[in-house]
Amino acid sequence: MFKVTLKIFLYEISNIFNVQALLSILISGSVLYFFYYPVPYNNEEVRDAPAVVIDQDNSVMSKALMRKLDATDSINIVAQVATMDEAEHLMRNREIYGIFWIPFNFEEDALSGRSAAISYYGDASYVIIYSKITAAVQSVVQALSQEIGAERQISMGVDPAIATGNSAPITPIIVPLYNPQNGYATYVIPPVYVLIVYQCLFLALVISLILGRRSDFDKALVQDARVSPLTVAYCVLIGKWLAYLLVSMTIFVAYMGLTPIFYQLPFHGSIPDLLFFSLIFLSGTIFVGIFVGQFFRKFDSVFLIIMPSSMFLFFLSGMSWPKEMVPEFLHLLTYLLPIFPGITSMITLNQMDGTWVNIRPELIQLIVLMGVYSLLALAGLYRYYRHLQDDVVVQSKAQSRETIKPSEE
Amino acid sequence: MSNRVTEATVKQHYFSLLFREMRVLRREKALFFALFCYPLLVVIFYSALLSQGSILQVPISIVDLDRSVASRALIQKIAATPEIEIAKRDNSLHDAKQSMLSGEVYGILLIPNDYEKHLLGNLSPEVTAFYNNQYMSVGSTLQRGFTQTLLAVVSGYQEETMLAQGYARAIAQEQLSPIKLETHTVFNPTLNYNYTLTNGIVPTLLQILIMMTMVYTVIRDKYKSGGIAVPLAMANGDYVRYLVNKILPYFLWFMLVHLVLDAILILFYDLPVRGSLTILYVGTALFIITAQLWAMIFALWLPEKVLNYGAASSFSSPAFGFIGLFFPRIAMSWYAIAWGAVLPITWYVEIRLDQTIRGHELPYNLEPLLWLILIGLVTYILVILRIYLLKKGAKRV
Repeated sequence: MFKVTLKIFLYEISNIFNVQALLSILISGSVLYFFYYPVPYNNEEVRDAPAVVIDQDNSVMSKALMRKLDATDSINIVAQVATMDEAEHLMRNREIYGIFWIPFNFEEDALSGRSAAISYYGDASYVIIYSKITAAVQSVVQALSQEIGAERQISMGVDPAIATGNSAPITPIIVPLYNPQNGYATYVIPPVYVLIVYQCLFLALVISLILGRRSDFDKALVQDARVSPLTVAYCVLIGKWLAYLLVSMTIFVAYMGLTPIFYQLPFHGSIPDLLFFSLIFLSGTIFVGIFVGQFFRKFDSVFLIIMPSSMFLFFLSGMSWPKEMVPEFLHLLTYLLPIFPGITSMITLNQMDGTWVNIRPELIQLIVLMGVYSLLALAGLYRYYRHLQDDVVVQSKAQSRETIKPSEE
Repeated sequence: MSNRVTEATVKQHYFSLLFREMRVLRREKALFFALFCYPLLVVIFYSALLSQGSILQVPISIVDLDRSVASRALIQKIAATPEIEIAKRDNSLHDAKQSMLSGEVYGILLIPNDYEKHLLGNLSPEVTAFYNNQYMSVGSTLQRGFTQTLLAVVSGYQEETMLAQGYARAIAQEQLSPIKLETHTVFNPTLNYNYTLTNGIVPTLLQILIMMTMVYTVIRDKYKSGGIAVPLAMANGDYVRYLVNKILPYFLWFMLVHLVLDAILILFYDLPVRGSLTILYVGTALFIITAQLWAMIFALWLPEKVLNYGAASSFSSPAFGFIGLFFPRIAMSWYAIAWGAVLPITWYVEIRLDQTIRGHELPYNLEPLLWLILIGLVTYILVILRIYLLKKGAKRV
C-alpha cells in the first residue's frame, strides 16, 4: 500500500510540472498574479487629490486658508476659478474632486465675531477620495477655528490658559491600528493573496481530476480484481494530498513571506506559524478540490463556473463588507469552505499580530472542514474507482474471451 | 427527408449560425449555467449583500477606567452614534485588544482614570479611540463616527463652560466656532455604498462572464476538426456575418441582465437616474460588444485552451482594481492607468456613474463612450485579422 501511495505521489508531482494546464494554473498562475494583482495599489494611498478654490474674498485669511489646504497631504489646489459653473464643469470632467468656496467678507466676519463659513463640495461618487479630502478639510478648518476662537477670547479678557482650555476641554486621540498609514495595498493585498493561492490550488485539483478521469494510470491501479477500490481510493487521496500539499505549501509560504518584503507591508507572522497554518488550511482546500472535482467532467466547465466565483468569495470573507452585516443565509455559506476562516486567521496572525488563541474558532472550523471533506473526497474516489474497476474487469474479461476464442477454433 | 438542412440553405439564411449557437446553449450544461443562472445570481447576491447600503452599527468595546458621571455621559453620546454599536465592556485595554484580535469588535474607546477630575479641572483629559484599520472599510466608518461624536462632545462642553462663564448661548456658539465648514456631498449625498459598489462590482463580474462564455463558444469552433473555417463557410465566408451570429445571442442576453440589474437598483434601491437612459444603454451595448471582442482576441490569437481561458480570466478578474472605483485612478502609476484604459469596464463604470448618480449632460460622457468605440475598433480589426489568417492557413492545408 505504501508503494502504491508513493507511486501516485510521484505521478502527481510529475503531472504538476509536466501537464501544461496544471503547470500554468498552479505555478505560472500564482507567479503571474503575485506581480500583476497589486499593480493598481503600488502607490498605497491617495495623495494630492486635485481641487479648486473659488475665492471671492481675496483676503489675507482666505489666502492663508488656501495655503493650509494645499499644504495637506491629501489636497492639491490646482487652480483658482472665478465661478461655480467653471468649477462644476471641472468636477464633472473628473479633473477635480473637491471645490472650496470662500465667500465675500470671510475675513471680516471671522475677525469681527460673526461666524464665517466656507463651503466644501466633494465628489462622493469616489468614496475614498471624498473621505480623504473631507478629513483634511475638517482638520484644517478646525485648527484655524480654534486658533481664532482662542485669540478672540483672550482679547475679550479671558485668561489665556482658560481660553485654550475652553477650546479643548478634552483631547480626543483617534488611533488607527494595524494599518496606520491607511494604505489600500496593506488592506487589500494580504486577504486577496490568500484567496489567489486558494483558487489556484482548487482549480488545479479540479482540473487534475478531470484530466485524470479514466486515464490509463487510473485503470492500471484497479486492474487487479483482488484490489479493493477503497484501498486504491485511500492511496490516491493520500498521494494526491501529499503531492499538492508539498507544492502548494511552498507557494503559500513564499506568497505570505515574500509579500511583506516585496511590497513593504506590515508582517507579524513567522515561518513555523505559516507552515503549521498552511498545513491545515491547504489540506482542507485540497480535500475540497478532490471532492468537488468529482462533479466536473469537462475542462471548460471549470473556467465557466469556478473561475468567476473569486469575487463572491472575497466579498463574503468580511474584509470589505463586515461579516456582521452579511445577511444570514449568505453568512451560512462561510461555514462551508476553508477559504473564509483561512483569510480571517491569516489576517489576524500576519497583519494584526494575533496569537493562536485569537483564531481558535477559525482553527476548529478549519479542522472540522478538513475532516469532513477528506471523508467526502474519499467516498467520492471510492465510488469512482469501484465503477472503474467494474468496467476494467469486465473489459479485460471480454478481451481475454476474445483472445481465447480463436485458439479454440 | 424533405426538410433536410442542406449546405445551400445554411448559407442562404443570414442567421443560420445563430440557430446553431442556440442549440449549443441548450445542450451544454456548464455554458447554460454560466450564461443564464450565474449573472442573475450575481445580481441577487450583491443586492442582498449590500442591501443595507452603508456600514452602520460597527461593534466596539468600551474600556471605562473612570466610571464617573462624566464618563458615562460620554459613553451615552458614543452609543448614540449611528456608526457605532457598543458591543462589549472590557476592564482593561489588554482585554479589549484581545476582543479586537478575535474579531469580536473593530474599535476600542479608552476613557482614562480621573477623566472627570481632569475635565472639571480644565486639564483636557485624553480620550483615545482605536479602530481596526486592517479592515479598512469598517475602519474608516469607525473613524468617521468617532471623530464626529468626539468633536460634538468637545463643542458641547465648550458651550457649557462659556454659559457658566456668563455668556449668552448665541454668542457662545459663535465664539466657539468662528469658522464654519459647510460640507456638501455632491452626487451621492447619503454616501450609499450600494450605488458605487453594485454599480461597479456587478458589471465587473458580468464582464468576466461575458468574456468566459465568448471564449467558450469561440474555442469550441476553433478546436474542432476543420477549425474556424467550418462555421465561417456556414456564414458564406462572410466575417461580419460570422461575428454577428456569434455575438448576437450572448449580447442580447447580457443586455437583458443589465436591464434586470438596473430595474432592481432603480426600483428597490432608489438609484437615481439623473442622466439619460439612452446613453446608459448605448454605453452598455458598447461595453458588452468590446468585452466580447476582447474575449475573441484571447480565444483566437492564443494557442491551447488553458491559455485562452487563463488570459481571458486574468484580463477580467482583477479588473476591479484598475477601474478606480475604490482606489482611485488618479493615485495609480502610469502603467496601471494605461492598463485600466484598455479594459472596457473602466469606461463603462464611468458611463454608469455619469448617467445614474452624477447626472451629466451630453458633452461630459463623450470621453468614455469614445474610448469604448476606440477599443471596439481596435479589437475588431485584430479579430478580423486573425480570422483571415486562420482561414488562409486552413485553405493551405
